[in-house]
Amino acid sequence: MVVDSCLNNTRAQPIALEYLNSLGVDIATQVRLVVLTHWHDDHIRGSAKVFSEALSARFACSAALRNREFFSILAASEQVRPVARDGSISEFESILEELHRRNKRGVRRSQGGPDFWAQDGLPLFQSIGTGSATVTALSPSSQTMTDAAARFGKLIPKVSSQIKRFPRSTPNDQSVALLVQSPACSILLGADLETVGDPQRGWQAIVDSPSRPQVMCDAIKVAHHGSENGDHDDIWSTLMHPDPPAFVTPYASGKKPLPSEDDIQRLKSRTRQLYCTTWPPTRRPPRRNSSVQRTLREMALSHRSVSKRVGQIRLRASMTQQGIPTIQTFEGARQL
Amino acid sequence: MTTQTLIPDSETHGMAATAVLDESSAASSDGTGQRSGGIIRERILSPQTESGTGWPQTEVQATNRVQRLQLASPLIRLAAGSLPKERIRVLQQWEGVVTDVGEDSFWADLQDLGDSSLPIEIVELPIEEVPEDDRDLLVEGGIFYWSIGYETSVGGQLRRMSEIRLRRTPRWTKRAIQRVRQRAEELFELHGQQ
Repeated sequence: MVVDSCLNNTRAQPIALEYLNSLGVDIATQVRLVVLTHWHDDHIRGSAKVFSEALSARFACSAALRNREFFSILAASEQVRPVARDGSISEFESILEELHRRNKRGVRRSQGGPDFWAQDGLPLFQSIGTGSATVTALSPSSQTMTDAAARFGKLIPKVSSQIKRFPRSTPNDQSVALLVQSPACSILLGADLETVGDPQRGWQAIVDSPSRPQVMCDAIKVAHHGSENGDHDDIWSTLMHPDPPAFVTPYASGKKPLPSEDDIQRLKSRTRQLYCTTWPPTRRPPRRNSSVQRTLREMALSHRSVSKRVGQIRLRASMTQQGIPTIQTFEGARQL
Repeated sequence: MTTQTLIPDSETHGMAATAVLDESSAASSDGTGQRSGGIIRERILSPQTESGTGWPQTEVQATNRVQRLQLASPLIRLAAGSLPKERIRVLQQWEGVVTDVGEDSFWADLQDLGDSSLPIEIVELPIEEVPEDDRDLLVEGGIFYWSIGYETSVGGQLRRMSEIRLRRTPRWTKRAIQRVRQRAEELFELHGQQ
């Protein structure tokens, strides 16, 4: 299974494909499920290439996208792309086109669109045989799906407005959080799901959900880059075993890089096994001509550069026997 | 004194004519010229009339002609060495995408236009550095160009310069929105049903 996608900065290739190729995985036949947790550019880049190579995979995305309003944004992106140079949302459209091609070739039985519009409690995958694994969507909630059309509706361009990139829609409660279970190990993948005030949406809805498999997880991919909004006390008390390995993916762009120092301290109070895929996520920008440096010092209130090193964390656990999973870090990844 | 030189269309690539002005003409405007931002644009009539019979004979004919003829090209040829030129030497250029806008400052992701292999840089800049005319374009997703370099003024003074220019993008037309609606419906029918 491949969940979301990002590109390696130096090679412009989807990291998931590089990793699976390095393991000798036959991507065309052995990747069985591709999931896009949500449509933001930091989760979607390269996903169309991943899916195009995963010829046997089924595709799942958030049921919150299944409305005319989101498809209007998709349609508008065709015109936004050349003007605002934002091609990220077109990855989603490319996947839909690939699904349509597979339909026409008769290699799919579905009538059209994704194989799964993921929502709270929906099983997405089940392997058979010894050590069978299951994947279940834990979100979005019904309330989120009801709200989604109105939220996307606000993003649809209006006559005379300037053509520009689509702003990130927040709060992010449309993400697909996943539960991956095997007889020996369960993992919670938090996507960018946030905690919102409404108990029927976000993490509180998962904690209270009657349709969720009632299991305690052994490891967690921390939600929303370790932000405070992506956290919730009940995740750690209700959904996780104590002191689990926790993995954070940083977000270096924007006003406030994530996780912040406060976020790190908060997460460290949750577990002693906190890892980050790239740390620190930013570094000093490249040195330039002295006149340029002087101007930068005078003008820029802050200036940093995204780290070029994209790290990876590998957790390996037996599918059949209980035991302590092994964790390895590569490149810029490290335990905090 | 103004010198007018008529140049055939074939040489001006479709422009009716261009003007050659000497330095003194830049300070004053005669009856046929108009000032525009310190540059004199000459209205120059082509020697060919629509019927090919020569110069207009009446004021009405001339007025009609002026309406139909293009304005002279803004190209102004100065005699060599007549004016020192303002020069800009660019040392660094980025393309930026606005990611957040605050009260007094904004945040952006920058891509070095001189070396695309460099990683994205993240910068916070004061809004006052953006030209006032461009500030309405300072919204999340707005694209801008930031240049840093040296400017040699007309008087020969060397100055360090920094310029931020927001990119003006087209506006959504009624027709484009209609196309989006139609395409969205097609996409939803194709992919949104199951």
